Amino acid sequence: MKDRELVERFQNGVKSAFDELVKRHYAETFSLYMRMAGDEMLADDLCQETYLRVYRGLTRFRNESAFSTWLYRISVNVANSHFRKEKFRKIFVSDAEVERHPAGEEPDDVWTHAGLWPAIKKLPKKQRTVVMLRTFQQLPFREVAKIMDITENSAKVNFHHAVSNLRKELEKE
Amino acid sequence: MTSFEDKLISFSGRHIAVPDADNFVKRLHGTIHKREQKRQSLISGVMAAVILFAVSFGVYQNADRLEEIPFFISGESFLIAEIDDDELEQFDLKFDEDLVYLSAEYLLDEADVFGSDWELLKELDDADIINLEYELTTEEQS
Repeated sequence: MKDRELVERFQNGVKSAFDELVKRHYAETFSLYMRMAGDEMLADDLCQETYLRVYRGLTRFRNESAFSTWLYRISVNVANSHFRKEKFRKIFVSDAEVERHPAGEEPDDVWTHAGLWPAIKKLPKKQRTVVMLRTFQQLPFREVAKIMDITENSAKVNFHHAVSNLRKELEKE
Repeated sequence: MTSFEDKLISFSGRHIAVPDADNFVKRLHGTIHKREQKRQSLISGVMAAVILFAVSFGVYQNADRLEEIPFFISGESFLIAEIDDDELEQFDLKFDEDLVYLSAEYLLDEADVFGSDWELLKELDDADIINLEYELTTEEQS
């Protein structure tokens, strides 16, 4: 059964259709957050928040875009919300407490989660979102553009800027 | 593609062990149920506050006409007239005690719902009573 049909079934009162949608997309969502956060607990929390938003919004979903595109849009919003909260938290908590270093990763090596993420988090929102979708989910630019509601060219330009900013930032270390 | 991009993609391409989806769905339903309960408590709380405000406002607006209502006839209220001073004092004390006790009990019971100002705002947002993240709601439309 296609996603579209499951959405319609949910909208017609078949609550189990939501479970099927979650099971179908959970691995992708979890992987995105795991690559982003590097922390299983946090990835799980963000997944919960994402699917809660999906549950609340599904009755209003008009099937004008693919369900997966809508889900990515929500995931990106949840991730950006998390970054914003983390930024505020940093005002009150020292950086050392906020940064999470998964076991076995040395923050000195830039090609580890602990080395790469601080640089990605510094990127402007659009560039960061393109990096997340393009490299971490390996989505084509066409799909990235649809999710972000921008043109394909703009997605490419943002990615190009993101890569050059990341390179500069990582070379500083 | 530059080697920098290759590195970036190969970094992101590492294998991720995904936990059991059935277990996640079960926990998710637990969270949905909990939030739904909170939402209901919150809506009841807001409704009660609105009713209380409306009644108080009505009484305030009609304060000068209260004497027309038999219950409020000054000095001759049937409730107050039958209670002597000692009884009234005892009644007041007991009433104050009960009020404090009931208020404390209410606050303790509702502490989970009205945890903090921020949580309250978040709950109002979840219940679609207010909208905290304007940007998100427009972006999340299909």
